[in-house]
Amino acid sequence: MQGKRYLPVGILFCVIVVIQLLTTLFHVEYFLTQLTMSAYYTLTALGLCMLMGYTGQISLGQAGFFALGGYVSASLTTLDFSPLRDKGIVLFFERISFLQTADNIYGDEILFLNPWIAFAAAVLLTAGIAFVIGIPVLKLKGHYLAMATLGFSIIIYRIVLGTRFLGEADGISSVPSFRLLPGLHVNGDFSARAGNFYIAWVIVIIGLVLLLNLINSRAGRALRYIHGNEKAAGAMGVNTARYKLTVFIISALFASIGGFFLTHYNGGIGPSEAGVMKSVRYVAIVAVGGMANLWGTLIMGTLLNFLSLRGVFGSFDDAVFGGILIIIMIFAPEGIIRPALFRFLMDKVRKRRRAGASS
Amino acid sequence: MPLLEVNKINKHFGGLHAVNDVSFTAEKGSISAVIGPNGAGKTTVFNLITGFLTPDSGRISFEKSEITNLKPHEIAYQGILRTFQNLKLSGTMTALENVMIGRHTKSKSGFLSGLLNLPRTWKEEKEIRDSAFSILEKLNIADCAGQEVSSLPFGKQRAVELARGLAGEPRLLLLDEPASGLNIYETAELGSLIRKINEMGVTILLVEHDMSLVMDISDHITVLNFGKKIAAGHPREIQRNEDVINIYLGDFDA
Repeated sequence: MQGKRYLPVGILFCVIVVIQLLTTLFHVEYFLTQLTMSAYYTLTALGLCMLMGYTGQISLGQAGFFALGGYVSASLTTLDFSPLRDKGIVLFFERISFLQTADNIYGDEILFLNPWIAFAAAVLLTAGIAFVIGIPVLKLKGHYLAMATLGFSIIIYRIVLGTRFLGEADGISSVPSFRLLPGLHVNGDFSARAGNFYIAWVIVIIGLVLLLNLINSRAGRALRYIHGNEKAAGAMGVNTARYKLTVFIISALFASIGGFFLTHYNGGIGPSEAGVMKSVRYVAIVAVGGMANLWGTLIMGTLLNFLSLRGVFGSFDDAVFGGILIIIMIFAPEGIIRPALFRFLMDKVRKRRRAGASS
Repeated sequence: MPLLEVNKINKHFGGLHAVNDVSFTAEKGSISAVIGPNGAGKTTVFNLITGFLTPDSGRISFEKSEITNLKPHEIAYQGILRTFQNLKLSGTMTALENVMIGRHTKSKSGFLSGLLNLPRTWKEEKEIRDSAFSILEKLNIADCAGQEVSSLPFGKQRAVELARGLAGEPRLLLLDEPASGLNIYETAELGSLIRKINEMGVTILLVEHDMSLVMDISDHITVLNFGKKIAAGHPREIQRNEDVINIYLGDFDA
């Protein structure tokens, strides 16, 4: 059973390697940039899939958490501490590498916060905020929960748009590169394109494996039971309020970590990442991926974000995702990627084969 | 010795006094029943005991400790599990998974060990699966184990719900109208099944308006009408009680 769970993950890794090799072979390495960005958006969608698809708690606030992770790191790592260098405490922080040095575009040396510290800050702040807003908000159900979480993402959007420290409408740029491991940097350098593609997808795979484990565990069964019948779950001993809150925090962390990495990869973040249409986009991806279907979410998240980032949808970008959501809700509320589809396709193939054999 | 003691509980819904000063006990190892016509407040009493509602006044205690204001999941952890009148199952999950959730109070792996799939959870997961399956076997529905619950016939769904309640090894099992929707043969079968469960050491409290089942299996009956207790005692006493006859057959003097 354990092997069955991880075999597709192994196949996914092979597909990723093949894609990288193909882009090199056909000299279309620039596709890797959009595939890397898609990976971070997909990570956010996977977290939402756990919350919405498996636990049945809709959230239109994921873009808010995504922006939270990105903005916390962008604002903290773009502060220049070099004027304070004569202070003992700053020197001490530099020595224990809480602070790092780099040259800015004018060739002056700047002293900035180690992105690992910013990462820890983003994770803690996201978990804290998700905890605080989750307690009252998760008492709501259905449309009411959707509206309350929508309210949260609108608040985040207005805050980043109206705060000078967060760059207002311009957002924050010149976010430094994030040294993940010696020799492995998260940044948008052309030379690091393949490396960043692998970093992004390894992060997605780690997230995917964690969630695949969760849905097959005791806690995951309780979450799925909350979706199936919340009252009965409570009567069987599941602390439904605590379970919903925990999965809400987990989904917020997936979004926040996605936002953190994308910000370092792009070297900046703007207020559009917190926009309501971004939240709708994540919901549309989970819906079209089959709701309670991590693999469907992964495939559709990568595909749709890639097409969107390549500009295939043109100026109808948001309209496409809104339209997808409407069509899915009317014609296939259980999503497109689900066992029934494969059965349908297999039947078609079999019939055609039979017709071919008889003629 | 009473396992469950309900002491003068009251519940109002707006102007309706749904449960009015109701007291009764369920003796350890017994089968007790709460009966009454529709709207008598039976299910409300159940919801008060299991924490889905909190009484306006009164006291409910289980094994001498008070459980009046506990939440549903806390009551489940005390060893009180229930079934619902209108089946409450997770339709898209299999029968086996539905029974496995019943073992929630008897297992303890949390989110972290779930996310990381720690080896120490494997044994527990296997134990949950095995004991859930053995309960399906005991109730003769093991053949449905892998099927989605919503695709099962009504009677089997009812059995799955009963199995789910049993999976947590309850000390007190509350059955909310277990015979509703069953024909007389199925009801008789259910009666012997409830006896079998009782003989395994599970105290049973049921709410029912099917008199044949209740008179057949109960050791003690409490009768409610318009939220008030009007009689209590052994089935034979209840059958002879004038007030009970009046509410069930109509008051001929009126």
